[in-house]
Amino acid sequence: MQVILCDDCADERERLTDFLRRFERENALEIDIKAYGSADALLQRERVGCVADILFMDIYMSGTSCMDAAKAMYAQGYRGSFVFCTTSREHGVESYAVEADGYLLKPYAWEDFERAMARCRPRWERKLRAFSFVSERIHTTVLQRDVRSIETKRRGCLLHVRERVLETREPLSHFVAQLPAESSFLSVGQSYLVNLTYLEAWDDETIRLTDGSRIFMPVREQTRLRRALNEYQWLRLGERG
Amino acid sequence: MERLFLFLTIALDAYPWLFLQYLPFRGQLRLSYGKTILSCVAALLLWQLGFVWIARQSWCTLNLMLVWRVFQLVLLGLLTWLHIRSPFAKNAFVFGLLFPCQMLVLSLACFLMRFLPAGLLPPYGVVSLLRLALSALLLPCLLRLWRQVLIPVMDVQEDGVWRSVWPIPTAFTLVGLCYTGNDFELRGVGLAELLGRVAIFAGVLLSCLTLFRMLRQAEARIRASEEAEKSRLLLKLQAEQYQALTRHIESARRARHDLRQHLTVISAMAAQGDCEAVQSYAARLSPTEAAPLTLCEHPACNALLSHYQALAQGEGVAVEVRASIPRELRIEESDLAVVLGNLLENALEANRYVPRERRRISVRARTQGDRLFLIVSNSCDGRERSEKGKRSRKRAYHEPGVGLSSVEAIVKRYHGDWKIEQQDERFTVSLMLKEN
Repeated sequence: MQVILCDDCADERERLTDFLRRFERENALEIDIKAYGSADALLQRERVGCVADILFMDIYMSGTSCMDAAKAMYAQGYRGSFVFCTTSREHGVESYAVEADGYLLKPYAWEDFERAMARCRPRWERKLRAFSFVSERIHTTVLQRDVRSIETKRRGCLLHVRERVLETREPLSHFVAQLPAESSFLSVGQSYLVNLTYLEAWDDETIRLTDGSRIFMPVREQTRLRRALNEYQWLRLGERG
Repeated sequence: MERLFLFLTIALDAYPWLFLQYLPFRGQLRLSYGKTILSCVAALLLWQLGFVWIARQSWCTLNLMLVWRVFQLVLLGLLTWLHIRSPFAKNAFVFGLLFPCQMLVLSLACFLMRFLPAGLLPPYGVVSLLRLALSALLLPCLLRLWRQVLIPVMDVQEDGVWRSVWPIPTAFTLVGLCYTGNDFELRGVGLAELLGRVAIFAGVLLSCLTLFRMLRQAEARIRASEEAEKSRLLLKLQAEQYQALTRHIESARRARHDLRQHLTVISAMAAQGDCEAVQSYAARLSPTEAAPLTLCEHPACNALLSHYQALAQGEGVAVEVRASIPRELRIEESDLAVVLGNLLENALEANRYVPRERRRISVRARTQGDRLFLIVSNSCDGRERSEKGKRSRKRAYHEPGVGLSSVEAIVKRYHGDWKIEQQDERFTVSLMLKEN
């Protein structure tokens, strides 16, 4: 998914990038972010043939106004989502002219951002990362964000997905190969792949997930796994919102 | 066969001891373990091949072989200096400590060989086997000494201390070298010579053990005084917080009183139907923003955060605090104060070297189960160190900081974890403490 940010405030661009990265991780998406510091720079590069899925724009910027830039892009055929970020509500009505999907009132929190992204759902829903595998002779696709854990069994794997368990003959490496470089999945020994989004707690030897299941950490890997869990918590803590 | 034993005996000069030389610095290697071992083996193999080649020449003498063996010491010193990222003084200290051990084993083997029947094996063979057996006996004791005494002392970051102590074992090494014969393995060692070696070994061991004890005591004293200082600061901060709270209650009482007066005036204006006057009066009463008094529930952390927030804002630093630390936490208040105080002080210090418009400090804290996660990040000029090097600008760039080493000690005490990162012009310390 491609996202463009246009804001003259570097801190705001950074904040929005943080939110997008968190959203990317939690939803197992792949987001390509481009950022511009003014509407003029945006128009110069993206006016014609822009294929971005969502465009976040600050309304008050020096130079060409954001609304004029949005209208120009809309006129040139851009049909992605517009999300306006502003400190006032006075452009609410004007934003209908470009069929804006969201309106973020600064300073906005993670929940506001999530609501805005939910309104743009059609833009990113089809781009969610999924695991593809054969289960009971049927080609199956499961969204990565819905998978709590994957465990190996004698021949193949068991996928714990929300309320059900899917069985497959694919090896664990088949699923590992489908993960992006940055993902919330953690390999525990050679038998488990755990989605840390569902992490409830852990101690020196076990990891507990939100459904109450416990996964034992192999003795040789305990140091690495504890470090990885700490890293994940630091990552979550460092996120804005 | 004799050549093989000669090869073995010269290998024993280096191999078992090299492991102990690297052990205290295993976290500070410039190369990976594999590459370090490979380069050591390659360099020593070249040296050994040189030795064998010299031994086969017609002009070879025992004195020349001794010089070549002494050259091995230089080679080993060079290897450790290249491989280990630690100051030279620390390397030299461990090196100086190991040499008398190695010489003791050699002398003892040469002494014992006199009691074995002659002609059983070539002289180098008997010595080699005895050295192997003695090394196998001594190494576990040394390993224990290293783990329990030497390695913890290596954490002392005071370069000045190491600069002054490394000559002690080195002096013993030099004395040992002066009395090294070139034909030990052939003629054996007498009792007097052996006792001399034992005396050198005991001397270096005792002096180093005394030194270690002194170093640990000095470090404990520094830590205790630092913690006492932080506890004093904490009490002072809590008093400040209490005074601020009292002032806040007083100003709220005054505001309530004033509000009644303002409402009376506004009602009178409204009764007269003078909307413009009401509007202008209300505009004059626009509220002023006040900093929140409570940044987190934990009293000690709240006091510290409020204090440093006020200090930072006074220096034009934008502070963002998002801390969710519960009132009850099974972590000593003084320990939390040392951690948070040191990190915030460092963050504030680093911001002083940054242009005013880019000054920022961000504090995030949250508990997860019985763990407290904390992140303190700040703007910096990009020159701070990005590893657990415990450096501080408060002294000088090349000197270590006590602050971060105190933080590290507390992290260890609470079975926690921490990391220091520097990305461009942002410096971040992330840590985790596990409640007791």
